[in-house]
Amino acid sequence: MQNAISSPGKRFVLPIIVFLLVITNSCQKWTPAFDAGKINLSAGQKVQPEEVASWIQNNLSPENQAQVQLGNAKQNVINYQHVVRVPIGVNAALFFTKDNSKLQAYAYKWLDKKPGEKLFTGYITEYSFQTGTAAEFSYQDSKITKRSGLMAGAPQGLSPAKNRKKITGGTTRPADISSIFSRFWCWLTGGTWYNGEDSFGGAQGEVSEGGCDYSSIQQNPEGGGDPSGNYQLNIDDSFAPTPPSVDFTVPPPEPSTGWVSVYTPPDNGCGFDANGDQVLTNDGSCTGTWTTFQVPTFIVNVTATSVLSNKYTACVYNNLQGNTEYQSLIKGFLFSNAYNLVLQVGTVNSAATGETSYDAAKSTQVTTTFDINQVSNLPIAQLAETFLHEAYHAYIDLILMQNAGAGASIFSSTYASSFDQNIAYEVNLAELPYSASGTLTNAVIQQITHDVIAKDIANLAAGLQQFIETIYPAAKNDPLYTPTLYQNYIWSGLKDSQAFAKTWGAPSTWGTNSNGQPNILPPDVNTAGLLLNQIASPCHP
Amino acid sequence: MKALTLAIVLFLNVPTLSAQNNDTVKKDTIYYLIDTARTPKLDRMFGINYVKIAEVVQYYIYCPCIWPDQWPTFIYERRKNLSDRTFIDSTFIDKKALKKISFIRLKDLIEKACDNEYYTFNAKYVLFFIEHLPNGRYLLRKVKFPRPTFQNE
Repeated sequence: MQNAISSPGKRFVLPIIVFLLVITNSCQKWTPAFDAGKINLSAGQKVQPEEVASWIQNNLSPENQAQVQLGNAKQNVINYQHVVRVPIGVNAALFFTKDNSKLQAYAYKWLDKKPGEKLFTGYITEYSFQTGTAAEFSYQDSKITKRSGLMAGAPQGLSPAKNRKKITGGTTRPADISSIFSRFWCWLTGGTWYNGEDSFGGAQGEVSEGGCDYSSIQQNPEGGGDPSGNYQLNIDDSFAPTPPSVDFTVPPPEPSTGWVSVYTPPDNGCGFDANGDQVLTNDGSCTGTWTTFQVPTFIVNVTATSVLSNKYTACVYNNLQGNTEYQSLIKGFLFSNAYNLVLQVGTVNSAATGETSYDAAKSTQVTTTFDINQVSNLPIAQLAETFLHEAYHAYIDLILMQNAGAGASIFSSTYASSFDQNIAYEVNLAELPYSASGTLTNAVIQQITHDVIAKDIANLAAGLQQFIETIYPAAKNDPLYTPTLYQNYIWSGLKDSQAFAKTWGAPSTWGTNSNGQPNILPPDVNTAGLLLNQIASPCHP
Repeated sequence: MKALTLAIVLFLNVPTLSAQNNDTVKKDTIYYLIDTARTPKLDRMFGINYVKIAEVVQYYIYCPCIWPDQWPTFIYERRKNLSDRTFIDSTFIDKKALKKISFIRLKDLIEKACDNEYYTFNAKYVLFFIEHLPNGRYLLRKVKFPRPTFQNE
């Protein structure tokens, strides 16, 4: 048994927290006063003001210290962690929290590409002062679509377990670490780094050591950084937090679905340190290359009794290859070296059409099983809905594995807590009467999971709509087949969720049928099933 | 009249033959007579619900034997073709033809519906309902036994 938040999982706790901070800033109850005494946590969990001040003094240069806006420090308690935020620029801040009574410091910079929208789309870059590593997170509609090292597109950069890149000077210039950090800090605070040799250098022939130039940015009342946060968006819309001395700003070939661009530095002396870790930069002369690889269609493991060897499931699976929502849900597995999704046809232990289970023993594998007895008997819409529904279960399991750690414990008594901490951006369990403690039964675990899915029902319905319109194009122009109809259909798989009860009310409110007997489903859900189940299958005889 | 009766009997046999051709396992054809008009209201076990927007008739047997407390529900889809909204012509049979049919008892139908999963039921049986309409006519419909709607995934 492992702790709910294992060591690798801790790496992602703060990104999740800062993500929450970024997307919910307006409704979070941030306390303006920097007064840990108001925080209702144990002393070991509180971040004390003197600790932060001391850390800043000991870890930042006097110039950098001047940019820290201590006067604007704010605090909050998020998922039982005291978090202190100290701005250092626009959309950039230092974050302090406690881990086992030890102060943890992080620097974050983020870009909200769709400000004002409920779901967060943009980038978050995190630097851990504990490990000297950085990571970048891309979000699309509140879902992590990409994790990578700061050096975007680096080899192995797609593996969440390996994607943090050390910011060091490399083997040739080990003394440059402070310089490298200065560059990162410069980028964080919205400046432009210049080298000693270039035009920003010292006057009258002096050799400049390089530095951060803030002259091109407009100061704002809060003290620093340009309004955009100085994120550099390449023409392919990829994100590159780029100290200008490193030439990996050369835009990679424009990736399209199923393709990935990988940056390769020219040689070991340039791009790797003594441990074999790729470095952010060294002397500024690197000119690497971008190579585009096609992502294999079936990185997911396929067993002998897999979906592809069954004509019904293979047909649905193939028709989901271009499905935006389905691909988004399984993307985490497709782009991962660490986690596997096994899709198979076999025996299901319940009356369900499919089930998804997390293999605690293997701890990196999620398996979806489609019921061998039902795949040939289900209407095509229902089989596709099962694929989408189970993909969402797999997606949730993947997030929990990545963030809460592997092992059996993530499905034990801490499960609700794990949900709260790790996928709180999907569902706020505080809104629902789930307990964050105590042993959870499988039924309750499923119930919680279905509430998470219900929160995102519009996207799942869009995925089903896309599928139906792929196999039955006439549905596009049919006034009966509305987005609401697809949503109502998805609801039929979430009947045990509390969201279902909240949305549809008690069965006594569902009315009666033409015989005066009570309906067994909300009429709209019943109608959705009857309508969509009539769509002929290209897969079934 | 003889010709009509013969045609109807032939029609009734077609599904059986068709089922035999399509499946390696022979399916039994079952006929059940729904005669609510002759059943006292309080004793009625059958419910019929027509969902017009979907053009589907749902038949319930009020016996909550499918977990969790769900009635066996059969459906008849009126549409022959979804794209052009064509409908299956209604098939009526007369009393003479009716007498040639061997009907299953309600008790046995309930047992078959409750003791089988929907997919095993469909693998074993082809089910026809014959409704005795208020105007005295008998309406024949081939029905499906779909997956119960209240089972979670």
